[in-house]
Amino acid sequence: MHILLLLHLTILFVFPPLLLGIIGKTKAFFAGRIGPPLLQPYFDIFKLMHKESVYSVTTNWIFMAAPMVSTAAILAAGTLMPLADFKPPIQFWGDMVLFVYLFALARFVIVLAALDTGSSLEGMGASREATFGCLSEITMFLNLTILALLSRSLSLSEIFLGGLSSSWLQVGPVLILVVVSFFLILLVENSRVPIDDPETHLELTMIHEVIVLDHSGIDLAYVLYGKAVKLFLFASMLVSVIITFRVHDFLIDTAFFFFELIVFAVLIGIVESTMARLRLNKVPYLLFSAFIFSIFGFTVILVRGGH
Amino acid sequence: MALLLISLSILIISSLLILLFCRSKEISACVFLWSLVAACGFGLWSALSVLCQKAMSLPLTGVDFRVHGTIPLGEFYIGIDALSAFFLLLFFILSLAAGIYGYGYLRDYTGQRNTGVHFALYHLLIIVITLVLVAKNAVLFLVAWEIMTFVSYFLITFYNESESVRKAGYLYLISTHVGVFCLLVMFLIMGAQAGSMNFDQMTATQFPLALAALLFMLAFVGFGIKAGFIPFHIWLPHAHPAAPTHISALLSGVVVKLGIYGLMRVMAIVKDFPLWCGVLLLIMAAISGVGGVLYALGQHEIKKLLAYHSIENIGIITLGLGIGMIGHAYHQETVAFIGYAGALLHTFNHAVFKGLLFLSAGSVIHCTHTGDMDHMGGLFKLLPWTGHLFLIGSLSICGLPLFNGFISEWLVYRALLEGVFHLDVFGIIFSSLAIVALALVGGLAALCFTKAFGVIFLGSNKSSEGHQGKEGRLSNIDIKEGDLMLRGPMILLAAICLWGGLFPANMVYFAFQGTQAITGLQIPFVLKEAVINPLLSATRVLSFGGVIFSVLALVRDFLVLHYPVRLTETWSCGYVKLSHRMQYTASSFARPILKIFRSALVFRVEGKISKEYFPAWTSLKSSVKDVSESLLFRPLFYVIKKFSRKLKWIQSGHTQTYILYVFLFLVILLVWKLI
Amino acid sequence: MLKILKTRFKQGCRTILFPKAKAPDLPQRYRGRPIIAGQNGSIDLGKIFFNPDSDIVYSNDYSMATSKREDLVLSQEREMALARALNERMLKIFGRSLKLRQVSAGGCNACELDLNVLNTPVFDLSRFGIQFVASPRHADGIVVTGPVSRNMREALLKTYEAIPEPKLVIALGGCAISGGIFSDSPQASHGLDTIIPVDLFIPGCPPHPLTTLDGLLRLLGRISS
Repeated sequence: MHILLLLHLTILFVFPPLLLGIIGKTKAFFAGRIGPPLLQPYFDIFKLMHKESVYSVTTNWIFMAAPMVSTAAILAAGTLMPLADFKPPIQFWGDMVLFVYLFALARFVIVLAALDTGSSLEGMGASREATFGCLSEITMFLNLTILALLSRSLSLSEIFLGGLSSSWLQVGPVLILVVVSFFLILLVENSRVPIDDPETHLELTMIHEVIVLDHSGIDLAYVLYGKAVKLFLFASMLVSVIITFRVHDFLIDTAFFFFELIVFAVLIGIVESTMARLRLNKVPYLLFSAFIFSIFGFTVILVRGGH
Repeated sequence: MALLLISLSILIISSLLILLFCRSKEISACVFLWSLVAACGFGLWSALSVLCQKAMSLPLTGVDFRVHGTIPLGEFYIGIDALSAFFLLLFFILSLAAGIYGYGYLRDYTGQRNTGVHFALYHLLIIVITLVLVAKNAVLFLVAWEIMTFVSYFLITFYNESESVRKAGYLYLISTHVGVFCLLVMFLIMGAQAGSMNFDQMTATQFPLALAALLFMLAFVGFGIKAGFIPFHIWLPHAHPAAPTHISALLSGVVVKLGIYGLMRVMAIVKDFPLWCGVLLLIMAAISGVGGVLYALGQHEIKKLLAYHSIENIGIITLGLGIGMIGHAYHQETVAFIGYAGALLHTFNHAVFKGLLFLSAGSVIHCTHTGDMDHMGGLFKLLPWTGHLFLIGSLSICGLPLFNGFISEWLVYRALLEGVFHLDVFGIIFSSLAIVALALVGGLAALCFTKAFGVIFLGSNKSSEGHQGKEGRLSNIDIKEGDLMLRGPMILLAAICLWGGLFPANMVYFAFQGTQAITGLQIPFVLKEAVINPLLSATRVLSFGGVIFSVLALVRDFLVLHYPVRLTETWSCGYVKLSHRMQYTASSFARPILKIFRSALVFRVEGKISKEYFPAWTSLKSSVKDVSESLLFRPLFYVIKKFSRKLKWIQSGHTQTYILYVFLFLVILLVWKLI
Repeated sequence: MLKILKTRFKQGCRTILFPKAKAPDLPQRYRGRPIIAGQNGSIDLGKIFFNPDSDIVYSNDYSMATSKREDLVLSQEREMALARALNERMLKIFGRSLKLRQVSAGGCNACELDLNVLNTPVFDLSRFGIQFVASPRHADGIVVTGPVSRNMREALLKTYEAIPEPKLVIALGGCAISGGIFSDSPQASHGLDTIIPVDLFIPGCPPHPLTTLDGLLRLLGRISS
């Protein structure tokens, strides 16, 4: 049992940056180029660990601590999330609320760190990040409520480990709506195209990149790593909703889970390659549509009586 | 009970002493401080001794104190049940902290006003609020309630040389009086039904559902005005900023909560309400929660922002109450228990962290001589204590893990989610909408407090360069941290915030004791376990996060040994003439979200945006108007004013006329008696 | 999406395999490293403009970047010393990940445009882990173009200071190296190396993308001479 927990943590700690690498490779393929190596995110993090950190004289310890707090909060959220057939190390009735709130904590400190620099660019990024974050949180909660209602459980591990196995047959359309809504939320929360472009090189056009404009060295490494883990957690949550099928063979299930994740990363890469970034004032509409999808799903449940 | 009586008598004696010595500032302050500490100590002891009882005996006996026939229709009958004890707990903690802070705050006060009288009134307020909380007789309750309103009016209008303060005070007085009228009617109906004005008999009486609905509406308006539900909240954002800081803390932490206490007391008395009452409460709670935080986002004045946040938190508390009532109406006691417990716990937590926030905001205002957040900035370096304490308060009020706000919000979420599981379609719809509202409130609160904390404490000071404030140029040398009398109470409250977040079991247990008093039912042990155990698991997740944090910090420290840290200026795209005033302000930070919600509130930007290449001078001002104030109450007040002008002739001002009135009234009475 | 896939299927991967394979042949018109003919002394690559009507004869060789300013001066006596790889410690750090911030210090946009070409599918700088980033805090080095006019001097210094150590400085184009056509002007500086220490000089007006790529890869030890 302990070995399984250890394995869960190992996957949680080690695997996430690879997803970014896969997204990068997919985008390169669509652009007709070779693209950065799959392990590029690891190289970047390794390099940043060997650089000094530069701080603004305006900043306080909040700026320094924020990357660590946010990464620790995201990793702590990871201990609630089942991966493949691995039960999470900790589970309890109502842990989904903590799961969302840990992400809120991570966002809170990063936003404060941005304001700590006193730069107007980062203030702008902080304002946008906080705005979109609070709008995506409501959809997140509604989606989780739907999943809880379908699986009759308030614990992530029970919802994702078998709780939804019969739901696809009974209320498939609901789950489709939830998946679409979740996917939009994933794009917003992880600042992917079409909400934000992690690869633009202008300070003004970004949300998440501009918020960490002043971080350097190991702090930036933590930020990048935390972002990767967040994407990984969202992706594995979505994958667990989409594919509830299990053969109950430990190795095959795990391998299949990783395969799903990789396919999912490729999917994000395809979205990024085929879409342009939205104008900033259109982003709320996207968030709103995610919310509407979720509301529709909820209505369908009430009408069908899936509860 | 004896402890509470000791505490009350200490307060009575010391307030007389203070009045006696009010010419000497030192003596009166000294008496105030020590009597406050002693009285609150005894009060806390008495509250805790009730809450810690293992098995609750229902109905309560042995902790009452009654003096028969002191007031017509009523009697001096007081007693502490778990509900009273729970509120006494938060009340004494907060009045202790706010009182000590007030002592430190007014010590440097050099104005004309007599601080001794203020201190005596403060003691009087503690006495009457205690009476409100422990009264077991409706008449006593109402009398104490009225005195409380008056005393708090005098405390609010401490700085009555300013007109806005006087206006805010009147607004408070008038709106709460409307509430008292409703309460009077409500208690009269209850008393008529029960045949006694004592709460015991009322509790034993069975009220028909239709009457219960009427009573609920009266209580909802009467207590709702005190609690500040939208749209009855108009007095709140005016009174909080007008009052001295420690009074604002007490107003927001306790006086507003008395509305909640009243509602809970009515629920304990009447028990069975129709379903729609709970639904109405839930809807109003959602409106108050979201509305409160949206208005807070639009405020640039720190105390006003905090005042609107009180409305938001009242919304969260009422969400718990509402789902509790709905659960009770469906006979799903699990939902009801958790909902009530969440409401109670959030009441306590809000009192603590809002008290902390108001006190630290007061310290900021004390130092900077302005309440406008856009003129602050960079205070974290200058006021490290206040900054850290405000940060703890902000994290708690946003309900983030590690702090007490999370525990109570989790309970409310839990109640709503249980509601989704256990209720029928109708119930599911409302509880899930409430979940969405709560999530929105949580997110917006986080947005609002990153704004408040960021703009006040982070970045660099906006007033030190170029800006000429009302008080003249503010130099950084002026800004000094307050002493232990100001810091101590805040540290106490911050410690409670952390304790409540890391070791939640005790407070949740107390909240369950209070819930038993509301519902009059014994909560099964299994349910208590089912609520407390997950919270302990949540603490395990947090400690895991703590371990990860320390590992990350160790790695960082190790790397910093090899690659030392360097200090330089903030990256500003190579811009050379960077000024402090180029930072993001509170207004600009909140603008995106206000634009999204612009249909829900009156968001106005005045001034013009310069389109020229080299703009010489321009000014922009954004403001958020309170819809219910400008669209609902101003026209209403206008009509009332017009109508009452017509009746003005009655008040002639001549004594003879008034004697005539008395005479006429007596004649009418006589005639009525004869017929 | 299908359209993109169809195009991809038709065109395949457009990235050149340089440096593993030979670089594509450059057209006849391309003016690469000058040939020192006869006794006409020395040529400073940092000062010439590679224009056709000068009396210099140009070869087709695009490798011109050097690690030292004086190596840019070609003379009859010695072989040209192209850029050397960074030391082992730096290579360990930057070998697989190098983020650069571009500073246009009064440039005419020619160098900037040709630098941008490196991000196109054909050259695809990202496959070497080299990327341009928004903030100097995230960067490992700056690429400076233009003669560093007086107005841009402080901004450049601020950017340089904002980059965390260890850091690289790359002077791109004749203007950055020597002041170029502005070398007589009091408003321009006379070479970036007079302001901050430079690790790589890439001559040209503007430098061909291959020259730049070649220089960067030599610096990272991917091409050894």
